[in-house]
Amino acid sequence: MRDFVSKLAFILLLALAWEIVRITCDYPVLLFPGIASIAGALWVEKVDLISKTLFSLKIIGTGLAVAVCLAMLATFISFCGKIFAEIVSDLMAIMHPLPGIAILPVAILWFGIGVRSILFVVVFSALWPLINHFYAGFRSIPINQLEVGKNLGLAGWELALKVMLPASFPHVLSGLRTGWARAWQASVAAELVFGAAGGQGGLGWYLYKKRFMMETPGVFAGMLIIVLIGIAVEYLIFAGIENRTIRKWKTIIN
Amino acid sequence: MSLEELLTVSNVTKIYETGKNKVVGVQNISFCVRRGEFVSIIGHSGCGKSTLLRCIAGFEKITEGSIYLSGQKVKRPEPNRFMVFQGLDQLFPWLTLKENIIFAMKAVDKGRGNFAERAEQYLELVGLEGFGDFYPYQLSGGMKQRAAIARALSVKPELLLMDEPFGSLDAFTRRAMHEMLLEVWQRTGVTIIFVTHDLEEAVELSDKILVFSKGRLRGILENHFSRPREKDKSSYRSFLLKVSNFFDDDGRASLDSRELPAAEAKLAF
Repeated sequence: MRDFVSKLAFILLLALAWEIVRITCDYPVLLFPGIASIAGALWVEKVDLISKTLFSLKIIGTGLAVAVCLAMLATFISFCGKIFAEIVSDLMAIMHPLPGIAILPVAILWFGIGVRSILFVVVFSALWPLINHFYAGFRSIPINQLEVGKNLGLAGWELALKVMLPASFPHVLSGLRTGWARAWQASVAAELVFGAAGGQGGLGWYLYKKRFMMETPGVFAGMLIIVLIGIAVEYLIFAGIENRTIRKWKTIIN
Repeated sequence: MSLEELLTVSNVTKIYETGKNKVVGVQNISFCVRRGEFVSIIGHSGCGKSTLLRCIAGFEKITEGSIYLSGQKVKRPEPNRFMVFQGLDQLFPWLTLKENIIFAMKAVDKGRGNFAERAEQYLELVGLEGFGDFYPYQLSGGMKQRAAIARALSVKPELLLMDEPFGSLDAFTRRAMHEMLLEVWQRTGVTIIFVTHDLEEAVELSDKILVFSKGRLRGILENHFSRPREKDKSSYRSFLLKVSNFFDDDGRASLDSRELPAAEAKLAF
């Protein structure tokens, strides 16, 4: 509760600073809308915002789920032999530095303008950091724990799921956090670049429209929603998982 | 104690190949262990004693020779030869002590059974009754090693392999661990191979001591002192002294294998 109050106080302080800057510098609404007009936009646009948010969350959820499965598979394969490990790490070296948005032109060529292209970019953006973290996690497992698993006769998938996954959970969790952030960035960026097809679109498309129509309070309202979802997911989901796992097991510091 | 042969190690050589270099881990090792025996392997660090133990466990592929456990050739790690390591991180940190033991029992024995009750019994055996719901981080080093031993015994191994299991513990804790281990050994009748560089520990615990140096087995000493050991006896002290005289200041066995049988005859009263 004290934690919550201090966080709320911090946010209120930020809002206050925002208003002070706006009023003292006398910026026009078009560049620097006040809290009141942003809140107004949020209220007026609530139906549209909710539907756009749900659309974005659906794409990100699907993309992240696909990326996590692929990353698990790639990590598992890379432990099946030296040659696979080399292939995966070479692929990583090539693909990881490539921004997800940079493959958007290719995605549009392959899948056309629409949900599938965005999904492709989202999966691509989340996949490489996920593999990176999972692979690092699997390689940093205490050897004793791995050998106890082998000594018990575990091998293959069973060893991976029952020993390697929980033993590398700190890395897996930070991989999921990074993957989630990348997926958001990718989906918003993709929609900002080419908009949406057939009236279907997420928060990126919403930002694009509001900017196009010079409705600056709406732009900030959309950004605020993205931030709020980020906070909610961090404190409700990731912190919850962390408290029930690695914090409880004390496999991380703090 | 029955005289049945449990483990037969014959002409085992392990060579590590790292690039162009070949490093001998152990060379031409032969010995056997009878069921129910408590055997120690001593030698300075890097002498190959741990390597041999890992070969017996099946973690390392041997280059030459063979290892048989009850007539079956050792090829890979299996629960019938269970290892307890030196490291204090061998328990699964995401499971409580009881869950660690149940995990092991379930991995080995796929059937049903009252795992929880049996896990409790193994915790009691090592003196950890009441600690079943603790996570590993909540325990001291000694308790962690006790739990690791309980987990190892819970899969009912024929051979318990211990790689300096008390090497990370302080002297007081070690003494308590020795008592506990001997009691567990006598109550379960499990066969133990115990690797250590601590001569006193080896003499206190085991019936038979294998002396290693530079990857070779230099000799086997029978330890016939009655249990519990009467450490104040002058014959016990002089036995210890003689064992330690095997090793010169570098910690290397100073006798070569041809000299040892004679020395052994003198030492094994």
